[in-house]
Amino acid sequence: MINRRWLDFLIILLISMFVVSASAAVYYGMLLPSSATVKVAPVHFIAGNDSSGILSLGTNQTYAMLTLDAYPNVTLYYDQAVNITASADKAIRLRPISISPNNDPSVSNFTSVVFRLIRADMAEVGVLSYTTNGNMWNVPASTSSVPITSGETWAIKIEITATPGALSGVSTNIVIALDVT
Amino acid sequence: MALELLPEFFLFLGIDFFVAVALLCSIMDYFRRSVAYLFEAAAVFGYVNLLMSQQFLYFFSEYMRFAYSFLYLALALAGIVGINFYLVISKRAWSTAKLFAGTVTLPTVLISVFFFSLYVRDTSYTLTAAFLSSAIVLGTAIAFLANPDKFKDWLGKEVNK
Repeated sequence: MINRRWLDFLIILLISMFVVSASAAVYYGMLLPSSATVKVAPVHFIAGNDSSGILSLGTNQTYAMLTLDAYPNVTLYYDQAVNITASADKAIRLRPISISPNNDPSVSNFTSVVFRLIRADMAEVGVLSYTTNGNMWNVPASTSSVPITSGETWAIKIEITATPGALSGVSTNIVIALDVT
Repeated sequence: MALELLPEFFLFLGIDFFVAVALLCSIMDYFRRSVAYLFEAAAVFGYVNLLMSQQFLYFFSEYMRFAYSFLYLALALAGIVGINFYLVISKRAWSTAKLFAGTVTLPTVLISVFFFSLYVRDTSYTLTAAFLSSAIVLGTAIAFLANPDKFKDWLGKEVNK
């Protein structure tokens, strides 16, 4: 009888150990939900030497809007339209999002819009070249990711070329993402 | 940083209580073999409940999760208190019942109230529970010490020595 009781005790003890440890593990797992903490962006935009009057930075400098000019039969260069600075070692690339209008007669007023990613040592590490083909824009592929070191400041150089006899008042809107990984 | 309790903590607490009671019942002479297994089954049910709560964490509201978790803990506490009454009323095992009340029933109730007060972030529950429990223990102890036989007669039971 005593042996039977201790056998029961042993069986219940084994089951108990499993139940308690497993339920503790499940509860501990529930205590670890995913969380998101707002931090300062490690890569953000700053004004460059040619940004005066054309650059509008968004909140926290994670968004930049450029209002650029173009002249008929002229290529206009903005060597430092906007700069990029990093506070941590990251990799960045330029990725086309949208261009508008497209498939429109106004497109034929432009020849090209080129965005060049210029490293701190002035080396070009990425190009987004939008060219026209009649009424259509040829949208380029994303640039390759390139490492940027903490404390470095890179530039985005922009070249805009309009066709001879381009109409005044014609505009195009280009949206580009700066991917940071 | 203070750790916030999830409603499922009461499930976890209830599982622990059921497991402890199952182990106690398995070594005490007053209970049938099936009673210990019954409490163990209740603990396993709580574990399954915890698993389901984890799977449906984002579908159930916090109030609902608290409701079924606290209900489970209340069942565990009811089981413990029930054992106490069983020992007193059916088995007339006064010494064992007193020992059980002091070492199992009271601590489990106090622990539950303590964690409930942590969950609702109101220490008044803990203080109230502590005062009430102390008063009950003091009153019961005085009654037993002053005239134990009279106290037992007041309950209308024969003393089974």
